[in-house]
Amino acid sequence: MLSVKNLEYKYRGAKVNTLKGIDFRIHPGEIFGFLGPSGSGKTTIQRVLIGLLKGYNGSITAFDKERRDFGRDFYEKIGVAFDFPNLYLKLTAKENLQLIAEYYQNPPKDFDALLDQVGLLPDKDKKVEGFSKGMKMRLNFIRSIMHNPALMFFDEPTSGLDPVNAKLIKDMILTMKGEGKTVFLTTHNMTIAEQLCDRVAFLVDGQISLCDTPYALKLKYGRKTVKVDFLSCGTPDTSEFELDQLSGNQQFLDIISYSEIKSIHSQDASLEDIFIKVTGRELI
Amino acid sequence: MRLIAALKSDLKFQFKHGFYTVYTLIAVLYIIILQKIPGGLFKDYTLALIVFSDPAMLGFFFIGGIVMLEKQQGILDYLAVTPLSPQEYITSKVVTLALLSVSASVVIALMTHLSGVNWLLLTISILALSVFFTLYGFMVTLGCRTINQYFFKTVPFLLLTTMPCFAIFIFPHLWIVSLLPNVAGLKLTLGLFLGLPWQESLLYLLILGLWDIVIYKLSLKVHSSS
Ligand SMILES: Nc1ncnc2c1ncn2[C@@H]1O[C@H](COP(=O)(O)OP(=O)(O)OP(=O)(O)O)[C@@H](O)[C@H]1O
Ligand SMILES: [Mg+2]
Repeated sequence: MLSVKNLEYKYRGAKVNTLKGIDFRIHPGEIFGFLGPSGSGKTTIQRVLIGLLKGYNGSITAFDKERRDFGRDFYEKIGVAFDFPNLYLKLTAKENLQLIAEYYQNPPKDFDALLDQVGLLPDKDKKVEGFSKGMKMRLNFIRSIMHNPALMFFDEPTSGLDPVNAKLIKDMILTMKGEGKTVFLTTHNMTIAEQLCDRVAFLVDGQISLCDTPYALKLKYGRKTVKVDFLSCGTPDTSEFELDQLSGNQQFLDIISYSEIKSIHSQDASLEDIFIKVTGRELI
Repeated sequence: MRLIAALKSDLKFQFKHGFYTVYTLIAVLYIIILQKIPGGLFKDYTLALIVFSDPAMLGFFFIGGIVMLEKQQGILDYLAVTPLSPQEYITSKVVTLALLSVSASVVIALMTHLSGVNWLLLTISILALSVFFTLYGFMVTLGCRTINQYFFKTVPFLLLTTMPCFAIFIFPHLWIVSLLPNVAGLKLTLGLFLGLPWQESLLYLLILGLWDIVIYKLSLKVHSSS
């Protein structure tokens, strides 16, 4: 669906490349996530892929054709949501969809139903300038998919959304995957990456340091632990143990035998822990 | 048709942002002033200069405002990832603003100068002028990030447009400056209200038409490299 080889990009006037030789491949029907701290190049890579930033080195093939040779019909097939909402502020929510929809060969038929999907039906005739950030993000999101594209690019699709609306967007992305759509997304939210992505790539300083399924990453880099809260001579204390060979761990056995246990939890390494471990960087 | 959709969208955008309201007020002001001036050569001159410097040139100022607003709202980025082509985008801007230029010029002239105007020539002339000035403004705008930057940048460009116009009053026989779009445009506009042999009008129209084509190609180039 999308194949990227040795992609390099340098902003005009910048001294060094922002993208430093990136390779990856997104299969049809897959949700592929780019994770990385702020400034690692996530937005840049999306903008290069969709053709907004021109003059890249290396190769980007989408729909079996080189990106730089695409005509305008490429945009019939892709949907793009930027990291900030870009809408006609003086127009209403519905007008925003209607005007843009007319540029497509395959425009949606029922705008009210679209707006309803993201909970904006009651606000359809209100001017967007009075919308909250979250409302704008939802309108921005629905606009990017209204022409039924096969490949989608979402830059931080849930940023600025409350948990309920974030879940709404996440579910919609999963539904689209169910319909066989392909999704490229960027985020620095590891939980979202874990919940949504079939594969994730860790991006640091314009390079991919790791790329795999969240499950494989956890298997390889994660370690399962048990965390015990207990009272030691009346003062609260906490210890953590490897889940492996727990039955032979004398210190653990002593605690559960002689101390008053407050709680025991088994813990999974989160993608976030793995990211920090692999890249030596904090997210954000 | 994407171009029709773009025209609709631009008309709506310009209307909602008050461009037409502002321009109606300005036109009314001009009409009131012109109606106070007694008929004669002075009035004809004033009318010609007003039409040339305002309705015909409004594209230069308005396109800046429109593109900067689109930039600020992120619309420009979004349109770039829709099937709308740069040609369609630019044409739509040019056509909507030309429509405003022509209607404003016709209304102002109609209300103040009833006799002896060739309305067809006026329409074509203002159209040709408006296309040029809109695209001229468009090229100035593209490199700018903020409104202030834009205003700052327009000053030298405006001087560049007005200076050669003075030349025709000081050196009336210096024909070579008439090859410049603004000078050709000014002579054409003066001719609309003060009279000009049709051959000369045609010549100026041709000059303007050529400039329109050149600046359209240039605009596309600048647009695609930005
Ligand atoms: N227009 C620009 N001109 C020059 N450098 C830029 C430009 N935009 C971004 N950069 C630089 O490119 C690098 C990557 O930025 P980018 O916006 O792609 O990061 P990001 O991973 O999307 O960050 P965030 O999580 O904050 O959105 C940064 O160092 C940034 O300073
Ligand atoms: Mg970003």
